[in-house]
Amino acid sequence: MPEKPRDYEAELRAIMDALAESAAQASDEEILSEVRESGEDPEAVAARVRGILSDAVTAYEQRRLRDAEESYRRRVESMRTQSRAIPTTPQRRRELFMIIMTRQPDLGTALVTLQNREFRNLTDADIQSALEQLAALGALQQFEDR
Amino acid sequence: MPPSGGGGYGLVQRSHGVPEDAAPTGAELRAAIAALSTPQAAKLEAFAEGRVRRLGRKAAGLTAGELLSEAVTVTLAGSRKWNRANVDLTGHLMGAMRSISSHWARDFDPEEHPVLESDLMKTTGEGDVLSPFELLAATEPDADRNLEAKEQVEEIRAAFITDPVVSVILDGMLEGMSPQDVRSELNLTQTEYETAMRRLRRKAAQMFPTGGSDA
Repeated sequence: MPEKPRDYEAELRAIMDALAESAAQASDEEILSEVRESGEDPEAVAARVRGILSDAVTAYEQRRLRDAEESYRRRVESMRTQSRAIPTTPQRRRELFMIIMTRQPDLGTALVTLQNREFRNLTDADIQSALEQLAALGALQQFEDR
Repeated sequence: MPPSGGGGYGLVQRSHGVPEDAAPTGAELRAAIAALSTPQAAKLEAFAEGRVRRLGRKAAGLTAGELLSEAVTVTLAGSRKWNRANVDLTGHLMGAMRSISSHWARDFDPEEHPVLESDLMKTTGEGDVLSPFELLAATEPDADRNLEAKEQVEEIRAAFITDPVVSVILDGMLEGMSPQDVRSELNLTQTEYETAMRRLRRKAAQMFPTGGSDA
């Protein structure tokens, strides 16, 4: 049976692990001496590190802000798209509303009160409001090809 | 049943009612960063560099600065909890960097970053070009990376051939001994040990400035 080859990767990993951990364990004096020996000013190194960390905080906050703005923009755009699905005249709105109630009576029960189930008493404003609610729910898109 | 009297649910409460291990706000973290002492900040950089150096090729171009930044990001996102009652910012960020760099190593795809044979070619004193792969069993799946590691281990050893203290420390590391065991085995004081480790860290930084290991 051939001899198992020596695992140099594991050996190198052991050395590098120990070196990284030794930096964590080193005393303040050792770390400062090491920085000076490398030709750097410890204060400059500290300022650089604080800068990197602070910049990361700023980047995170800006990313969150951008995400929130993007989410808001998408919501507004979605509402605009849905609003475009509402006809501009009362007559066309009423026709659309009747189509919806005919094809999806379940939506009617969710939106109109019992006394208005026959839809005769609904005012133009009631219909406008109902269509806006349906648009906000995204329920109008399926009727765009009406 | 939850405890009564507003004692919380196992979380230590700060005076204003925010759980102690909740993700810090940007303002809280900025204040902690500004309060880092010079040695603490320098130690963070040395540790970040050490972790990136440990990754070697697996760092895939990522830098110590990016590792530091990522440690801040996971802290703010709350995916790495900072137990402020028990750990200072330096200790927390080191723990985060240890974890992040291990993830980077696990996610590394060797197919995307192959070792080129031309990188490992050697020319002898007589001018003959040798391919080191010829010296290893061709069937060994990680032969290329093992060969690269072999060269780096030998390079480190050669750099300290005239430094008996570091040479023996290296032996101890390779045998998996803890720093305490190495120290007691060699009868070294803490200062002597740290001074030797400093020599080793400095040499490693010179030899592998952008992460020369592939561990």
